[in-house]
Amino acid sequence: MPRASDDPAVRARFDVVEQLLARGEVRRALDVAKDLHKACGSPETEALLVRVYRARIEEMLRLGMPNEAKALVDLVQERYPASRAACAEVQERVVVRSGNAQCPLARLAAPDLPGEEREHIEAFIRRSITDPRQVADFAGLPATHPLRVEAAAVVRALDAVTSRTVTDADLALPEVSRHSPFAPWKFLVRAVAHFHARQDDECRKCLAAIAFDSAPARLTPVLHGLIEGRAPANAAPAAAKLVVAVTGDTSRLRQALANLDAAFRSGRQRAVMDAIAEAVRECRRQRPELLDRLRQHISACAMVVDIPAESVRNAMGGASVKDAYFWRLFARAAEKRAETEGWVELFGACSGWEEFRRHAVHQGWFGAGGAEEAAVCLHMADLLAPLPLREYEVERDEMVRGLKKCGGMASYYRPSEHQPPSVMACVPPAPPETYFLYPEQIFGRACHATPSPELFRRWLDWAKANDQGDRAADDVAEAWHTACPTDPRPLLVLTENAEARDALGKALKYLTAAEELDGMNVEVRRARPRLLVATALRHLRKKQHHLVEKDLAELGESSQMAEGDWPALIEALRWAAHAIPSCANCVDWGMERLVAAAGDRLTATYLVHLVAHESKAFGLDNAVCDRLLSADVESAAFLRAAARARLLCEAMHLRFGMPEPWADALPAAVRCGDGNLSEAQLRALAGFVLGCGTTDSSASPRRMASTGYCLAGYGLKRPDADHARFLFLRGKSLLIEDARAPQRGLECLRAARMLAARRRDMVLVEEALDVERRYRYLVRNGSEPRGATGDHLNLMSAEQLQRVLATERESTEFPVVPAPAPARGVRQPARSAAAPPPKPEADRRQGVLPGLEELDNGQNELGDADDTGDDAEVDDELDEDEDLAFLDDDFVFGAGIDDDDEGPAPDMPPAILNVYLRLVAKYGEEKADRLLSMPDALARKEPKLLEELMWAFEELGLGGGGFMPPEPRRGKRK
Amino acid sequence: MKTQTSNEDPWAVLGIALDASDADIRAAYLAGVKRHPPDRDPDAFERIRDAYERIREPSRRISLMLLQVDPMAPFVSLLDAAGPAPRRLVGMPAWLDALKEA
Repeated sequence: MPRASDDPAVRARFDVVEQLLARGEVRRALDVAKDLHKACGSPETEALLVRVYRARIEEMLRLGMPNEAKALVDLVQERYPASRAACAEVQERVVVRSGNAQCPLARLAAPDLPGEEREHIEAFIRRSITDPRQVADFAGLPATHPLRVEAAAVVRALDAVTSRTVTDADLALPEVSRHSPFAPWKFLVRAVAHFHARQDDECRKCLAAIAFDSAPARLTPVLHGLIEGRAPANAAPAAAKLVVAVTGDTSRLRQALANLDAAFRSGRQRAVMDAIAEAVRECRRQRPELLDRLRQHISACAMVVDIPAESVRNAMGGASVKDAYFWRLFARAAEKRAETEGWVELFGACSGWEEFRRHAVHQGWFGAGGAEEAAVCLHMADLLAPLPLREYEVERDEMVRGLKKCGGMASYYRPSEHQPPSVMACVPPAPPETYFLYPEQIFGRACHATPSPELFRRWLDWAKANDQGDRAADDVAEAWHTACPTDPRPLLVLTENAEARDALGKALKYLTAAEELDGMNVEVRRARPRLLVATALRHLRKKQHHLVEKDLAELGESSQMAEGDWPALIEALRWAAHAIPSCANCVDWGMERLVAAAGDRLTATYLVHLVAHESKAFGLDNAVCDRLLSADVESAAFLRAAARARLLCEAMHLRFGMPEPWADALPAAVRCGDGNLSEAQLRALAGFVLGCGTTDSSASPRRMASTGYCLAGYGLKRPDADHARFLFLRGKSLLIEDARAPQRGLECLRAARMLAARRRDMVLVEEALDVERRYRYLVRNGSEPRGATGDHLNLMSAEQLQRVLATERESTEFPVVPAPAPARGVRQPARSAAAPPPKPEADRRQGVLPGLEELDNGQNELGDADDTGDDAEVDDELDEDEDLAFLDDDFVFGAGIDDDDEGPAPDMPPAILNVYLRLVAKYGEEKADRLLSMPDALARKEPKLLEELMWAFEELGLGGGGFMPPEPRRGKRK
Repeated sequence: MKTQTSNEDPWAVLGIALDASDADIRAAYLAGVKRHPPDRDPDAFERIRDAYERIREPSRRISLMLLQVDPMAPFVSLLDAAGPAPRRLVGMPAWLDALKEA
């Protein structure tokens, strides 16, 4: 017999019912199922109708209509008797929900209840009882009935885990056996307990252990949703309410906080106040535990944007708690304010950090006098150290007076602030502390808290950088020595300070103490010969020649003096002790012995010159110079002598440079080759020529830069050399004065830092950083920084580093910027017809330098000495380029100054002429011209004249201060 | 994929006090990674490891303690940094109502 559902039309209506049920449209599904059953009347359609009725009854239970559900279940069972079995389970639930669970429970009291029926009732309890109180409070059973006892235990445990923190004893439930109909409740109780203890994994395990057909299992999706922090899909209203009640709903708070951010951004005070009130209200309602934090952040934020604290407090409905967290925010906010309002705000930041320090110790964030306290102090010192000293001192004194007058931060602890007792227990002392405004006192505290060499070194650096005088540096070193009595470094500092003051006796005393502590220390070992030589030189200067022999004897006893060039230096001193009291004609005395010690005549003569110069025996000095430089010298020997002398000078901390002709000869000698110099000699020589202001030469900085560039290149080509150092020197050469390839120079410095950091050479890292910062500062501001911080300190990748190294190894020519085309008919400077012809190629190959006479007569330039043909032309271009160096500046001063070769234009405004003439009077015509072409240099050398010039430009109505695009160099002026 | 953990308070992530010693910090870290091994709970493991890395060294820890707060940070970050809301104890009736209607 064909079934009704075999008919496609009927099948389609079956599918419609299923789809409606799946979508939760139970009532419509019921209508369709009724029509279908009316039309077909088959057992299949009846089964479908009963299933839909069951769904409708369950929906009624969910919607809180237990009586209606009971009526419907009775009707269905009456009308369709075959459905009784199918409706049994839902009928039980209807019975329980309509409060009629007593009916089956009451039968448990019957003494002759068959075992089968008991099992049936217990299954009913397991499946349908959703409130154990129905059993626990059921009067139809005796109070001692096991089910009532078990139900009461479950109720107590469930009440405990949902109302308070519980112990393991609360969860034990020994009354409930694992065969009891209440056994699933034990797992539910434990799951809730783990949920509140945030033991989510354990909670999930307990939920998995609940029998799937038991009543408590219906809560499993809800608990999973609670763990995730959201209600499960299609949750009943009570379940959704439970989720919100337990986990809270922060969506409105989030919105309020977003509004607050927007209000602060808008800058409208009224909007800010409204948003504060709303955010505080929502926070109090949804996350009350965060209210204090929110108030503290609002206070700090309002401070940064300068909204009155009183208004903010009113909007918040109370003051923020002034604990360590608040003061840290306060200090950071003041630091932010300093970025826009000026560095004076940093005083407020330091006050905030001091309050933070006190409260943090009080609250136990960290202990008193520990590394954390030192870190706070150092942070304050870092804030104050770079400030301009003069202005800083004036503002600081005013701040100190103000603090003392108003009692410091006492206003934050007034009774009207309603601070909690924990905060009031940490009220600032009266009179208020002010140490945090004095870097030296801050450093002192930090070093007292953590007496580490690094901290003392930073303190010392600050004292030196801020020109605090010798006494201040000595005080720091003394404090360091007291704190670390076994460390020789403070004694070395004291030694060097005394040496710098020419207090050599005292220096030797400190050095002896350092030697007793650590005689093997490299710095200590280096110091003694240096001091002894300095003593001998001082005796020579003071004409106490009889004491020199004693010094020399002492020097001879020193083991270090037997190494390197020190024996030659001793001989040079011995020579000076004899020659100085005699006469300039006695320069030959002892020279042979000295030459033997030095290894060559040139070095020996250079050492004699050095000693004569340092002894201030200038007559002798000149005589030696004449002898020394009167003959042609092989460039390699010249380089070696110069480098050895430089190394000795470095070891003796002497600033002595080179005789001027030597310095002039150096570039040409360097271009002939590296002279087989050692790595240390290359480094010393390059460091010397790139050390601005330390040469005695009149050679231009750019000539010296190109020489340093070349020397650094020799070092870079050596496979085992310290490439970091040579990259640093190369970078420095590219950034000197009128930098030709600044980007390349900066890349070299970064590569040097990276290589140095790999070798933990932090001194070189700092040096490279310092050069980079200074260059950037000069580019931006035109003057030297004082503790300025760089902002482009990023390193590079390994590939970039290799690329820079390869590029610099290959680049042998100092970058030259082509001279611009001549304009307005100005003649192009050219080599004079009277200039001597280029030296023969043969001379260049042999690397021979000219004699001194040629130099003095000005017949040749050492820089050109080895140039012939094309090379000579290149050098000519270099010279021209040097003459036209000012053209490479972005702008020159030119307004109002005529290009006429015959001096200032007759119509030159008097104000400008006045400045120009004063410059000429002070610096000479050529240098005055150069200064006028380099605003930065003029700003450094003559700031007042620059200001006058600017005023003159303003008065003339020349926008931009009279700056003009570059123009070719003017001719000679008279 | 690295999780966004930089805003979280590392002390809170590890469940330790601000004055916890080096040993306490390490113990909390080990306990955390034992509870959340990388193969089973990579996100939590990442959070714990990140928190530990940030406060393991005393110098970094102190710097973080001083400078981790930003007064101009969005206020919503307060909620994120505070972590999930506490689970409130709402009493038995609410739970039984949910069960009854489930």
